[in-house]
Amino acid sequence: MKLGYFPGCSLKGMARAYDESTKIVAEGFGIELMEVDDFNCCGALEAKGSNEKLSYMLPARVMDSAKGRFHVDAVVTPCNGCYHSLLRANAAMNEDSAAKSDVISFLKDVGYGTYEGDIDVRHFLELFYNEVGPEKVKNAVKKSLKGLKVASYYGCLYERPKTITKTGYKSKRDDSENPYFQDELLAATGAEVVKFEAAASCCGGAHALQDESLAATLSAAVLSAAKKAGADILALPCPLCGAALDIKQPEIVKAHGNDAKIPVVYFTQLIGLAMGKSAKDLKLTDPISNPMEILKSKGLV
Amino acid sequence: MAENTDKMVIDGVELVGIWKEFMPSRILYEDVTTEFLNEVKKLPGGETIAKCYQCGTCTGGCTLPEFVDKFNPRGFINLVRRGHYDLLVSDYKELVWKCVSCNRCTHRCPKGVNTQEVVRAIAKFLEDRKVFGKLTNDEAFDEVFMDEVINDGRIDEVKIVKDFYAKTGRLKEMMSGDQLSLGFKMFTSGRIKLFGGKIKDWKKVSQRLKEELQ
Ligand code: SF4
Ligand code: SF4
Repeated sequence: MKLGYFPGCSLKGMARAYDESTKIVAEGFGIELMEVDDFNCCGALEAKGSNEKLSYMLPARVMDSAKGRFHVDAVVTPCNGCYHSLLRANAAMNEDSAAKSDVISFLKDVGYGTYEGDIDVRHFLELFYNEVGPEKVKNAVKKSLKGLKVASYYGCLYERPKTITKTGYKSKRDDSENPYFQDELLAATGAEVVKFEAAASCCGGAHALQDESLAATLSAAVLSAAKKAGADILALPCPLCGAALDIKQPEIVKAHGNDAKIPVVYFTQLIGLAMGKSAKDLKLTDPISNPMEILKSKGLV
Repeated sequence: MAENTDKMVIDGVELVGIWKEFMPSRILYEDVTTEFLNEVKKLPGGETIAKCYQCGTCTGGCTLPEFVDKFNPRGFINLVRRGHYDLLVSDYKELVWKCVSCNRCTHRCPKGVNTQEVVRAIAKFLEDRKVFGKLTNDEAFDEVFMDEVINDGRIDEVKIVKDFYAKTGRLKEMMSGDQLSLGFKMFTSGRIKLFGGKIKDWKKVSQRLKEELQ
């Protein structure tokens, strides 16, 4: 299977730790990723509220570039938001013939014109779980994360809505009400995954700028649920949740108190750590919420 | 409570009383107008609104009612479908745009309504009718976001924040204490890099996207 890698805008900016740790983990387990380096923004949630056609064209150009240049079978992205946009365009191409012909004529004008809704979209978490899986992770552990209590957080668009993730219709998708792929992968590192009821709650990140106080309230609810569950650290698979829960954390703590104070990392950073990779390469000093302190105290870095 | 004189006798037993009063009719047919429904249907994301059968599953699982009093996607749809425009504006306009796009509603809707997008379409319907009296934060953000995507091809997080604050008249706030020191920390650690817009042939794509918008 040939895979195109679409990092998305965030991973080339503030979430570079996710980009770099994803590549380290993929390489370590023999997943070859061909980076679509001339990618454009997927349009996120803004395009779909602004113009229907554009909201298909933007993701389609990414898919077209991956297919036209690398002849890939699937495009994989580590971002919940990009995943949503790509899947949504894919669904429209397959279910709405008018949208499909508009998009194809656009791609013929500006790109390779090869994409017809016919290649698969995958989230890196889902792909890693299915192609590598907890067993292999367990066998590859060089430094067990034993003693580290992790809250495994998924956010929203990774597992829903089923109208476009096709959960239940497509094999290999995570459980949409109670996702568990990341839990099992993290448990394979030796870490203790705590029972955490806000695993698939919304962090409010989509409104982090537009409605700051409500977004902070929702983020605080997630962070404090993790802390209440006894976690030392929260791991996640989305750069937008990362921005909301990590970068915004100082403001959240200011408004909601220390109950909402907990280090936040990408799940790939923890898997990389268990593989024996360095904190520097994994960019574990990047998060504003300072995971280094707890990792040091547990003797992990 | 209005006096109810209805009588209902079955097998000699009188069941009367006020049995009709705790089940007031929910639909006043003479009230219904489809004008607004048709408008929302035409907006991006609004297409599926008419499929709704008012089961309330969306509201039951929605992220917000716990945090935002009276937030109710089923209710918003109901008001549009019944044509209760005045009530939507007077009591709900400040709520509709608060949706955080978590998609729990769309995920669980048994009728295939794209509820999250319908709620966004209802907010847009109100924005287009200028009921807010000013540019909402949502509109402002969508505008700066789409401008940046169409012109540069990618989002530069620093630029988008700056443009958003500028558009909503809060640039000063951004340049103050906390925000600035956070920005400085991110910049010196290398997490903030400026993207120069280097996607090959983007000009052509950009031109084509602009044509699409006309
Ligand atoms: S879940 Fe679907 S059908 Fe039920 S009220 Fe909500 S939108 Fe309507
Ligand atoms: S997408 Fe909006 S309306 Fe739907 S469940 Fe989430 S917050 Fe509620």
